[in-house]
Amino acid sequence: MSNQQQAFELAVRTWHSELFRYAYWLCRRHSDADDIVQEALLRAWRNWASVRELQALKRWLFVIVRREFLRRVGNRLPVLESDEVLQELPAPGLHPDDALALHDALAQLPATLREALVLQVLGGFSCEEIADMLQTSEGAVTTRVSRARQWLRRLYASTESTGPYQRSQTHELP
Amino acid sequence: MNCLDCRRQLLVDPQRLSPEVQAHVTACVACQQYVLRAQEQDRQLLDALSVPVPERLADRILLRQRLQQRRHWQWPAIAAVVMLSAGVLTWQLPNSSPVSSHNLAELAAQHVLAEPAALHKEDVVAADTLSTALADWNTKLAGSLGILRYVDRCNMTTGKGLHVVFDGPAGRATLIVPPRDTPVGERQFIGADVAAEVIMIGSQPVSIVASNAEQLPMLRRAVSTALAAL
Repeated sequence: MSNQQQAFELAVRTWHSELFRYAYWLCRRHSDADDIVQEALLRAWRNWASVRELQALKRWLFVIVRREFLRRVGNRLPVLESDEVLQELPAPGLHPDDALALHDALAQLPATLREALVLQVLGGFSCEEIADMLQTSEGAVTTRVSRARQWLRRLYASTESTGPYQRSQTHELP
Repeated sequence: MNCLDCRRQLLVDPQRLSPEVQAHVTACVACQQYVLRAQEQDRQLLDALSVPVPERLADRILLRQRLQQRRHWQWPAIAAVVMLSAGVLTWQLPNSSPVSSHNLAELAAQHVLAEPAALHKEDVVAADTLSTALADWNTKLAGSLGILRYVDRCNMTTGKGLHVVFDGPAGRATLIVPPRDTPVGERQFIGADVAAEVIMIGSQPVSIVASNAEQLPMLRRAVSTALAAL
């Protein structure tokens, strides 16, 4: 087995789960995510010789998955234009341990916010890396992940007096 | 840095604390609690984001990659004749066609091996489901295949195929309808724990896959009776 083949197999086995989950949260269909990841990794193999930095390999694979998804949706990812969309979304009380409800809440997040959050929490990328992957500014990414977390936190019902969800009496927390 | 600034930064990334945030949190008990809550939320978020991954996804990807690579390597087995005539260099291809490694039966067998979970399904799938799916390949159910256990469209090397598992007269078996326009090539494959054969339903090739070659004749008769061209 060639070094390239070995490296590819290692990359597939190491990251296929994260890549699938990223694809799932882009398209929100298991079967489509399966297709996207397969095609993306085969495309990655065809361009394997272009990989220069192993440190950037994971990021490169995520970008290829994203491009495969965009190719399938006609290169149109919905852009959040105002906060009005977020504020209209229902915000029922949610117990912190309710994973299924949190899953549903994530599905309701606008696509641009969810994507940035997924790349950060699931992919483990920094805001700077995400900005590079999404070809946007770091400021835009920090805004997206902040808004996503703010909205998700509104869903949580908390009785803790010192918890992050409780509104301060002196000023509103961001 | 005050508490407001600290918590704004934690909204951005609770896992990567800047030196300023770390210094503030060290001195502020309230923000220490806030950090712990924020990091716990991210753990819950990670759990929610970690949806189940399809079985053997990595194996299927690697199988497709190896099959594609093998076809790529074996195709250029073309004998070339160089003719030098009056200073002109020409290439002349032989009369025979290029050697092809395509074996539809083998591809079907490998697909079955790559998706072992399908063979263990105990669901009962309605015949209508299979009928509807077969129509995409100009084929219909003309009789009973037996108890249908699994019917799904699957990614195969050349596109979407149909994967059917059923309990037939020879026991549990698999029917693979390949993607349209897949060349047939070799029509039989015998492996260690798998045997496959290609049969034609009208102009549509289908592969029957069993655990051993002895089951193939009975399976061939059953499938040839149960399926017909539309």
